[in-house]
Amino acid sequence: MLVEIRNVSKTYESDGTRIGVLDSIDFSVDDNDFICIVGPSGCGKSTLLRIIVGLEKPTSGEVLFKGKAIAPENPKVAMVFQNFALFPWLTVTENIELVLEPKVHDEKQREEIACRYIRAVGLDGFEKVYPRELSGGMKQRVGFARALAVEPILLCMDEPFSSLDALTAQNLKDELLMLWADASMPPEAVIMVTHNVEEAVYMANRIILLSPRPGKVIADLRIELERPRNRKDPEFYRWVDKVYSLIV
Amino acid sequence: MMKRGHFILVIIFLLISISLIFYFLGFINLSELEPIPYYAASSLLRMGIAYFFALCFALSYGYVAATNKGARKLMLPLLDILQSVPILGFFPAAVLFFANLISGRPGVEAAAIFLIFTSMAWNMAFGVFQSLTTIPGELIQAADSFGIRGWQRLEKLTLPACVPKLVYNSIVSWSSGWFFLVASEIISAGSGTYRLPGIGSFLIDTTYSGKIALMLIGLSTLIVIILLLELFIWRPMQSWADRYNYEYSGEKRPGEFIFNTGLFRRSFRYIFELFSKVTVSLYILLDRYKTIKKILRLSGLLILFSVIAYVVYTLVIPVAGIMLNLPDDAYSIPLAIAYSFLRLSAAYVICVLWTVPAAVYIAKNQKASSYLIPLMEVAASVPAIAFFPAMVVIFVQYGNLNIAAVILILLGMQWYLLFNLIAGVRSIPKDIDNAAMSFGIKGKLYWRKVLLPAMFPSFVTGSITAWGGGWNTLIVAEYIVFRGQEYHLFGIGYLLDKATFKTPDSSMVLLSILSMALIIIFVNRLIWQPLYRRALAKYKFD
Repeated sequence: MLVEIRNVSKTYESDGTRIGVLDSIDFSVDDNDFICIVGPSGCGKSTLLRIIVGLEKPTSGEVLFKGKAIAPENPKVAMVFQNFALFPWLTVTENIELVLEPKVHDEKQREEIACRYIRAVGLDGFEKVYPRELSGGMKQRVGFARALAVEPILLCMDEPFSSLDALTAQNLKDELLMLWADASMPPEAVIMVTHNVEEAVYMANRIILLSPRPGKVIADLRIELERPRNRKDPEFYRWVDKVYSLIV
Repeated sequence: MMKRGHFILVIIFLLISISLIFYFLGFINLSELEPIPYYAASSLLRMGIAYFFALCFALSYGYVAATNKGARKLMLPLLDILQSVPILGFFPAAVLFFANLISGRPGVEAAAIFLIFTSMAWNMAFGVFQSLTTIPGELIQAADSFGIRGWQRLEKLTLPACVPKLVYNSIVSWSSGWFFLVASEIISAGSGTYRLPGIGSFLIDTTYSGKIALMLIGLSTLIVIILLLELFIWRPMQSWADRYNYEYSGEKRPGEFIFNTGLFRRSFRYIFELFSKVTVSLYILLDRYKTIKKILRLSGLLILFSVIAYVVYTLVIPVAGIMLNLPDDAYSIPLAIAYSFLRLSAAYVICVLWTVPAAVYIAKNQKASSYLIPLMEVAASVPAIAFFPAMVVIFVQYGNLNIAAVILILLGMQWYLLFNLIAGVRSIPKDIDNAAMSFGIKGKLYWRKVLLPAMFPSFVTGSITAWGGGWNTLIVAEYIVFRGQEYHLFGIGYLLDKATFKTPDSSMVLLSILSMALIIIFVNRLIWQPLYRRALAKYKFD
């Protein structure tokens, strides 16, 4: 077992009233899992992801990574953000080199790694370009390259496609799945947060459905569809319908 | 968390009780307090008149610059230069100018009001211009498509668009107005001949006659007035202005405590409406009668030219004469500027050294900021120059005047930089910080690659305003008359004050102002503007 989420709850306090965000979330992540956490907006799925990577503390419960409590600077976990979170004053290469700095001390080696992952996401020729000169899709490619470059065991993605247009998003999804299928590429497990059911069925091995606030796990499904998946396949639609029926 | 309004009330209460304790301990007697209400009222009246003129000016200037593309080309650079020139440098010139125009105290009053006006107007005019040019295109198109024109358009689209920035910039202007009010009273008190009754001159008089308790009461009165205005005017105004923001969510500002008084809001609105009615009826009139338009334009030009001619006559012609025959002091101007520049740089270095870490600590630490920020905002609301008399007594008697000057300049600089930097750290998107944290970027690496670059834009804007504040403070800090004796530090501020009050010499006043303005514009163009452009191009979050 790679990650264990044990009975995690989160409440906020605002003006003296307690607002429950997450309620006793309990599941575990295995090697080779591609998990999509799906739920309506405001159900706390992003909060859950941030608790899993250690950016936020749960009110109760705990998250274990390989049996140990998770810490935000864990180099084995990397994160991809909805709005990219690239550093605007650093070039594409520098953005990637920066995240390598805490663990790779040799400058030359950092440059080589950055170069390799820039090529892997198809950004050759844009090494010296600043993020603001890139389109949304290309920015998110940098986001992926940056996350993969630290060679994480677990890759966490917070709605990575929802600020991209539909066509760009589809291309990027396919490329990401190809990287995922490539055994020489890093992450062993992926957790992705999304509110898009079709996207989840298209990408995931496993879907965890959350209820509206406060978020509770209402289903944990294995998607047994052959890869590469076909959106026009009736079988694909049966799965989509099944997930929808569980939400409603 | 302590609400700011409550905090202000506590401070007011404390200041009043200290005054009462002084009274009961017998440090002061009642007769000495009698002039205070009159002084306070005079100071406040000067501020009010200047603000009224500044508001009218800002609306007209901003409106014309925003709507008339031809005029804009001249008006914007002019505003830019006016904003970057140290206003206090104008005061001696303004005293000379208005004393020529109107004799006696009314002339000095006019000069003081003019000075306060100049400290308020540019920034507000800029706010109006910016608001009018950044009205979302969709909103304009919507107004066009529904046929909203003329008076209705002004009332429903144009003026509301100005409200948030105008209110915000009014607050900034008002606080710099306090600085110049106190400064003009202090400077004129130093001259002996051009006295202005007010809180500022009260501070100077009491300090120089050694009545420290009275001076503290004067200072408390000033702080209490500033805080009361904030509580009863500016905060209600601000919460009202929030409604005119394009992204207003209907939420109240968090942790706020507001006295809702409609009086000021109504009068603010009244000026607004008056202004719009006058301009619209003028526009309609002009549209109908083309000849009136021509006559008006002609007479406008005539007035402009006669004003320019008068300024040239009173100020520039003497200088032209003197240029051929430079006064002896003129040769010391470059060295004086260098000395003043060194003082400013010393204060700036100290300022940067403490504000950068302090801003990061405050912005990152919720608990600390909840009580530190109100405390600092109250401290910052007191014009640095009000501490000037106390500083003089301490350093004239016990130490080095240079240190006093640097500390005073530091007081005039630091808040601008601190509050800008805090806002800069706070504007770092949460995702950026999360990304840094999740990839284990911390400590030195975090400062070098994340924090400092992210702070760079606010560092530049803060520095520009800090230097502006510094130049202004300098003019007071270099020349002091204390108990009939003169103390001075050689520098451009000293030359300016000397030429105004000690050995009146209008040509030296002009030469000093011109060279100071030149050096400031030079520094702005050569250092700050390129840095600012770079900050916007590279270090800004989208």
